[in-house]
Amino acid sequence: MMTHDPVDFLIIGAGASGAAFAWSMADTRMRILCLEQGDWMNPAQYPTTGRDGELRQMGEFSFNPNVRGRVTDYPVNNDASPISIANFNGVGGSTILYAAHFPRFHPSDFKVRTCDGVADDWPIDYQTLEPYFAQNDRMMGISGLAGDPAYPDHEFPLPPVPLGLSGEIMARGFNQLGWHWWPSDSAVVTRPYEGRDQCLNLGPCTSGCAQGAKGSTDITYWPEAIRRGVQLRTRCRVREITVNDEGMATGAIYYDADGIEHFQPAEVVVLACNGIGTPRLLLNSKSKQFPNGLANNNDQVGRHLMLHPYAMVFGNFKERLDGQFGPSGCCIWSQEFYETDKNRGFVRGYTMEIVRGRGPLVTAMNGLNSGTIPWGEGFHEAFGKQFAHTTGMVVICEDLPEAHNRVTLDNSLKDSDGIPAPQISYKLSDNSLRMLDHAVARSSEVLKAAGAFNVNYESPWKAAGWHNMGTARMGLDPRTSVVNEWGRAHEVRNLFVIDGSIFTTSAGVNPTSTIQALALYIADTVKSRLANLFD
Amino acid sequence: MNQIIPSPARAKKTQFNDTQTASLNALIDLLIPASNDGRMPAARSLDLFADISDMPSATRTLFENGLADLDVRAQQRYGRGFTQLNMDETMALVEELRSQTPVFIQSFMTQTTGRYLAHDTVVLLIGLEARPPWPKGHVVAQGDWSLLDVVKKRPKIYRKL
Repeated sequence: MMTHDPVDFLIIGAGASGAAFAWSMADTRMRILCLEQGDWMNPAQYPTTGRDGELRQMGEFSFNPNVRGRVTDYPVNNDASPISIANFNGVGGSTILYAAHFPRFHPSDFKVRTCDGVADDWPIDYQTLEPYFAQNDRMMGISGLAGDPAYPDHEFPLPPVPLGLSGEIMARGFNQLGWHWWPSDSAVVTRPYEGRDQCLNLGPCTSGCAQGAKGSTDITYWPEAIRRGVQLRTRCRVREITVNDEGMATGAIYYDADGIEHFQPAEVVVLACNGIGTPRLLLNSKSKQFPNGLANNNDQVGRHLMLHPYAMVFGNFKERLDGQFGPSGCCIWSQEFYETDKNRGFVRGYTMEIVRGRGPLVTAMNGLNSGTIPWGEGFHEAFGKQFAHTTGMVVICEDLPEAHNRVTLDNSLKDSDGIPAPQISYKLSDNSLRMLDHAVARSSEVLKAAGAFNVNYESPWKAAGWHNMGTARMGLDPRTSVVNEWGRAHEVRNLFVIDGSIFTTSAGVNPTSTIQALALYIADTVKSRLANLFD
Repeated sequence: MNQIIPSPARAKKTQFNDTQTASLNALIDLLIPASNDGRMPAARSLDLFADISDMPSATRTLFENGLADLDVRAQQRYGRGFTQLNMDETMALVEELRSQTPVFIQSFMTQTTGRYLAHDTVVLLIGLEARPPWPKGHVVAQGDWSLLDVVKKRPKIYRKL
């Protein structure tokens, strides 16, 4: 095994949180190294640069790693889950393929137990993260409009994404019902910003942005972090974190692109592999001191998996819309049903996010699979009614933590280096099912108010396992949580977790903004405690 | 100029054989025939699979196995090859395959509709430009922002703690 020179901080994972943490820690001028199992992406090869982009988006750029099947991916066993895990592995992580929605969590999202008597409160609050939300918005280049009544006041570096015809028609529907709507907070630069050119409305942001207008961390945090001395080593797949006799982390064993084993010693190990990769790595790191996996003597690692149950609701319109263009996922949203109203039959709530529309192939495949576009002579007429005449929304429901929803290791499924794959065991709660039903009914109502006909939906949306949270959760009680209020593992004092796995609850919005704010907050806390970090 | 000739083992297959092509065409006719008014062309007429060198090898294998499977099932059930079946018999086999081994039919639908809807002829007929989205991009209207005025007048709706 090849052994490298030791580093002070070893970060595993170069996605949303790893990039933000590395950039912040660069202030210290310490030896900081990040290991990433994937490659750097080449925007010139993203699907929107070619005519076959939609086909490629359903193959090598699929957000489902089992479909994508790149050598840099690891398989996921979703057999025991109604929702399949979605992610991307590479510099930038899942920000490469995310839709770029960038909402913050709300104040009540951190105090669910206090507000609604369910789940747990976070050991930190909105005010703690507020300066880091703002710092992260500047680094990622967030567009939006101040004054949203669904949020505490905050400013944006850039003006909002355009409404377009789809946004405008849905805004009229929301207004007719007197419901809240607002332009989406989006990691899409709507003006030239910090060396990035503005959005060209290419279409799907979820296959990578060839223009560089979408804020993925390979083009935001990483170039600056590397300029400031952070090392980033790609095609390094970590097998396990090692420990000494005292139970302190000593570094990581990884495989390079040729399958050669390396050992990277480190003073501090920081996990940034998100809600599936992080518990997978911890569970694979078994030792005499931690026979059930690292930091898992309390049997909490991998539990409390939260996935955000999604519903997808679309309708057809007589008018020709422009939904196949624009940043397709980011448009407007509604948080009319966000905060708890127990008269609805469930606690917590959801966000409706208008998706402008679909490209030709996605329209056809949705139609063929749902039966609204037939094989044969009827294909053309049905397709013609749907393509460029469809808009709708995805609905993100808050998922409450339950110990039986979890990530474990698969005994037989392995990645190309022979490392056991994650296995997902997940059930939708009654609260989630009632919330999904409510969301489908209200979404159908607003679509009809906007003039839609032929409203159809998928609930839960099986493919939508983008948000993986809670599997190494943050808490003050070492018996029921994995890390403390500043991300340090209760059981291993030089091990930190900074990604979505430390979420105590999931909120009803996309998590990337909060993941990165947490990573920046943890980095600042670490920097302020360097003299007694392990006490 | 030196010509680079790939070794046989590494050469990418550029087309299906005649038997596979015949079965594939029968399937394509079922999925996307010409429109009744003649405006939209039949998928078969565009020769969508004339060059499959860009098709991932796993997808190619899936097609080859799926097409062979259709022929075997046709022989077992009707005593004739897949291309000799009438439309009802063909569709019955497709439905059978769809329920028992949906991966091939799903991939067939994706590849066929994907290639059809990206073909220059069809792209223009559905009102798009025959070019990739980048670098020219698209124009999206700002829309009527005065629609937001009524929302701006609402009090805060988030819970203050």
